[in-house]
Amino acid sequence: MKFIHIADVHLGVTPDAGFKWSEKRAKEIWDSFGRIVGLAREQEADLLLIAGDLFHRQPLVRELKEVDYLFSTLTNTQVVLIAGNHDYLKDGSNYWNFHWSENVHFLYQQECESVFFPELNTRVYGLSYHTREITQPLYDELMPVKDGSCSILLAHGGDARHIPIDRRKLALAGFDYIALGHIHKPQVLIRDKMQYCGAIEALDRDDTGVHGHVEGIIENGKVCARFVPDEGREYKELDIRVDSGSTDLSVMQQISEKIELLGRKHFYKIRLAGFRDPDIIFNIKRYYELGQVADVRDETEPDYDFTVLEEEYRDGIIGEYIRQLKGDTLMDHLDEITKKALYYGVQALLETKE
Amino acid sequence: MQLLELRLKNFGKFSGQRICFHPGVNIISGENEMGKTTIHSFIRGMLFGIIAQRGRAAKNDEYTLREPWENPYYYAGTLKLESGGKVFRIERNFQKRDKSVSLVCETDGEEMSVEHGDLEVLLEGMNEQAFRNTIFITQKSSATDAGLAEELKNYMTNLREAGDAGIYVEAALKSLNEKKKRTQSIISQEEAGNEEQAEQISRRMEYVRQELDSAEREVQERRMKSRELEERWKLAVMQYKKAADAARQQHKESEDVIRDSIGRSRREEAERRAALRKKRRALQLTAAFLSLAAFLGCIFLPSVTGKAAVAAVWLLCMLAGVWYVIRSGGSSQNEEMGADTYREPGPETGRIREPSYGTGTNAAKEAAKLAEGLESLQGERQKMSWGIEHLKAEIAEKKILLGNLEESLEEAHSLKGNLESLKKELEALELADRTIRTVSREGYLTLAEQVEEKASGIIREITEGKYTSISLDENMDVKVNTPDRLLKLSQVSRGTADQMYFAVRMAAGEVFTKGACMPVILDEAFAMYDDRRLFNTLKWLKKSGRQVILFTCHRREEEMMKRI
Repeated sequence: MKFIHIADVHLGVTPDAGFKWSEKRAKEIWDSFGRIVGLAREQEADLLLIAGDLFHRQPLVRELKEVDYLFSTLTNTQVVLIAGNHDYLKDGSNYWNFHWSENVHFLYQQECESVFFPELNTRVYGLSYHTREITQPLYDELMPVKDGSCSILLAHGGDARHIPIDRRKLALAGFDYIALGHIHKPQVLIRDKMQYCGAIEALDRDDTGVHGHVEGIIENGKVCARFVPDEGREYKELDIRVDSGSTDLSVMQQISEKIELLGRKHFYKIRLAGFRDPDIIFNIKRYYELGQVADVRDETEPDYDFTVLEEEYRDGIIGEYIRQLKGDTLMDHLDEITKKALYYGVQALLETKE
Repeated sequence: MQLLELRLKNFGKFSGQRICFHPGVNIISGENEMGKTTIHSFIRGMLFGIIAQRGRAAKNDEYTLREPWENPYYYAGTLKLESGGKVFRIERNFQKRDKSVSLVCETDGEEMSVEHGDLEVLLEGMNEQAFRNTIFITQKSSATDAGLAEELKNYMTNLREAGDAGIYVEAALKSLNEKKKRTQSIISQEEAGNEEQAEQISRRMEYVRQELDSAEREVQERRMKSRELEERWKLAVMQYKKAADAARQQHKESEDVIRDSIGRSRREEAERRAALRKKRRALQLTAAFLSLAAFLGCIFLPSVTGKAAVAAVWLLCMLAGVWYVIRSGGSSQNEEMGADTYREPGPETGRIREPSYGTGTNAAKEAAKLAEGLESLQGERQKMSWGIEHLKAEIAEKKILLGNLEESLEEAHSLKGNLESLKKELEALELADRTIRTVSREGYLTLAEQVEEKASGIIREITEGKYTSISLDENMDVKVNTPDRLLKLSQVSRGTADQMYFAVRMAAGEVFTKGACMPVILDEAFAMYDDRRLFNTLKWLKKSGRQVILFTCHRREEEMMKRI
C-alpha cells in the first residue's frame, strides 16, 4: 500500500505581503499542491493523507471546488483530510456543506473518528479542529482498533495551544504510522513511524530550509516512509561574517556572490554577525536589492573591548558609563538592549574625542 | 603657570610695549585711558586669539576694538609664560588676512603646535570659555554666564578623564539624538508600509462589504417580488381550477355518451378476446399432443423411414409452435398498451398534459389558456427561487471572505520582525542617552559640590563670616544660603554679588584645573568692594600663592598690599 503524506499547504495565503514576489508566491502554492496531486496520480498512491491546514483561512466554495476537482482526477487514490487550526471548522464554514467526490474522506468530528478502506485493510484515524486553539491533549489517549488492519493517524498540532502531544505516549499507542502536521519544518520524530512532513512550500521568511512531502509504503505491516524534498524555491539563511576589515561595499559584494552561488530563484534571509569597525555603518536598505532578499538583520557589534575600555577610562565618564550599564555582568549575559546601549553610548562618547 | 612677559608689538594704542610680571600679586595701577583694559585684553588675545567677526557685528568686536591705531596691518604681540619649570613663548599675528600663531619652548628650543593642543595643555585644559568664566575677570561684569555651567559639565568629564581631554557629553548626546531620529524615521517608514498593507486589506473589505450589502438588498427585493409572484400564482391557480371545473362539467355530458359507447365496444372486445383465448388453448393442446406423439414415435417406431417421417412431423409441429408463440406474445403486448394510463394534471405538479375536460368545448379552451399562463408563471417561480438561492450562496461566500480578510487585517496590525528589532534599537539608544545623562549629572553634581564648598570657604573669608554658604543650581546659577533663607544674587548688594561671583570663579577655576595654580587676571574687579572686604580679598589672593595681575585706577589696592 502506497501513501503520500502532506500537511500545511495553506492554500489562499499571500506570503511576504508587501514584497514584489508576494502574488507570484500565492500562485506557486496552488501550483505545488496541484503537483502533489499529480504525483499521487502518477504513482497510483493508494492514500493521499492531508494532516490539516489545507487552507490558510476559511475556504471559499470556489476554492473547495478547485481542490475537489483535483481530487476527483485521482482514480486510484483515496484522499483523507482533517481541518487544522487555520482552516478550523467554525460555524458557517464551507467545509460543513461541501459535497466531496467519492474518493475524498473528510473527518469532521472533534473527537477522533476513523474511515476504513477494506480493499487496503487500512483504517485512517483523525479529528478536525472546531476552534482556533485546542489546549487539551486529544491525541495522547488514542488507541487504534486491534482487528489486524493497518492503522494510520492524521494528527495536527503539537504545541501548547494546538493539541499538545506526548510523543512517547503516542508512539506506543499502536498506530502503524502517524502523519503529523502543523509544524512547517519537516521533522522525523520516529523513523518510519511518526513525522512532520512540513509545509509543502515555504509560506514566509520564517519557513527557512527545504520543504516537500512524505512518500510511504506499508507492506505486511512494515512501514517505510521517506521525506521527498521539493525542488522549488526555498528561503535560505545567509550568515555573513564581518570583521574589522569589512566595509559596506565588501559586504554587499559578499552577499551578491553567495546569492549567485546558491541560486537566484531562492529567497534570502541575511544576517550580519561579527565585530565590525565601529566607524562602519552597513546600509541595510540597499541589501534588499541584491536579489530576492526577504530580510536583513544587522547583528554585528562594534569591535570594542569593554574590559579594556573600562580600565583605560577608569576615572572618566566612559568608565563610569560602562560600569553603570554593565556592572559585573559578562558581556554574553547582557540583554540585547543593554548591550546595544553600551555600544551606542561608548561610541558616541569616543566619537567626540578629537 | 605664571605669566612672565608681554610684548605688545602693535596692539591698540601700544606699539613696542614690554611688560614684565613677577610671581605673586602684580598691581598695575594708572589713570583712566592709560590702556589697562587693552593690556588685560591682550593677555586673553595672546592665549586664545582674536577672531574677527563679519558684517555688522564687526563694527564693535574685539578685533576692531584692539586694532592698532597706527599701521593696522601690523597687529601682533608675544607672551612669555612659565609652566612646569619651563619657559614658553607665544607669538601671534592677529591680522585677519595673515593670522598666525607659534608656540616655542624657550628652555629647550622646541617648536610646539597650538593646533595640536599644546597650548591647552599649558593652560591646564582650560579653553577660552572656561578662562573667561573663572580667572579672567573684566570690569564690565564679574558675573558668570551660562557658559560656566556648560564648561563645568564638559570639564567635569575632562577632570575624570585624568588628563584625557576632549570628551564632550553634549556632543555625544547630540550624536545619539541624531541616531535616534534616524531610527525613528525608519520605524515610521516601516509602520507606514504596514499601514499601507492594512489599508489595502481594509479597502478590499470595504469593497466586499459593499458587494455584500447590495447582494443582501437584492435578496430583499427578490423576496418581495417572490411574494408578489406567489400571490399571482395563487390567484391564477384559483382561476384555473374554476375554469377547469366548469369545463369538466360541460365535458362530462358529452363524455357520458362517449363512455357508453366505449363501454359497449369494450364489452365486445372482451368477448372477442375470450373466444380467441379459448381457440388458442385448444391449439396449444393439440400441438403439445402431436409433438409428444411424434417424440414417442421417434423412439419406439422400428423402421428408419417411419422414424424419419415422424421426426419431420415433430419438427414441423415445433416450428409452428415457436412461430405461434412469437406471434401471440407480440399481440398480447399490443393488448396491454390499451390500458388507460391517463393522469389528471395537478396545478401542484405544474405539468399540464392532456386535460380531463377534453378540448372541444369553449370552457375547455379557456381553461387551457389559463393553464398555459400557469405554466409560464411556474417557470418564473422556479427562476426566482434559483436566483434567491444563488444570491444566498454568494452572501455566505462573501461573509467568509470578509472573515478571512478580518483575520489578515489583525495580522497586518500586529508587529513585524523588522519593526521589533528597530524598536529595540531605539530603546537601546534611549537607554544610552539616559545613562550618559545620569552618569554625567552625578559627576556634575559632585563637581558642583566641590565648587560650592570651595566658594563657600572663600566668601566666608571675604565677608568675615557674614556669608558662609554658596549654593549652585543645575545651571550654575549662584545662590546664597543665609541662616534664614536662600537668596538670589539680585537680592544682595552689587558689591556682595561681585564677591560671590569672585568666590565661585576662583573655586571653579581651581576645580577646572584640578587645583593647579593659575594666574588670576583682574580688570577693575574690586571697584564695588568696600575697603574691609577688599582687604580680605587681597589677603586671600596673596595667601593662595597664585600669580595675580590686577589692573586698577585706584591706589588703595597697592596701599593695602603693603599692609598685608
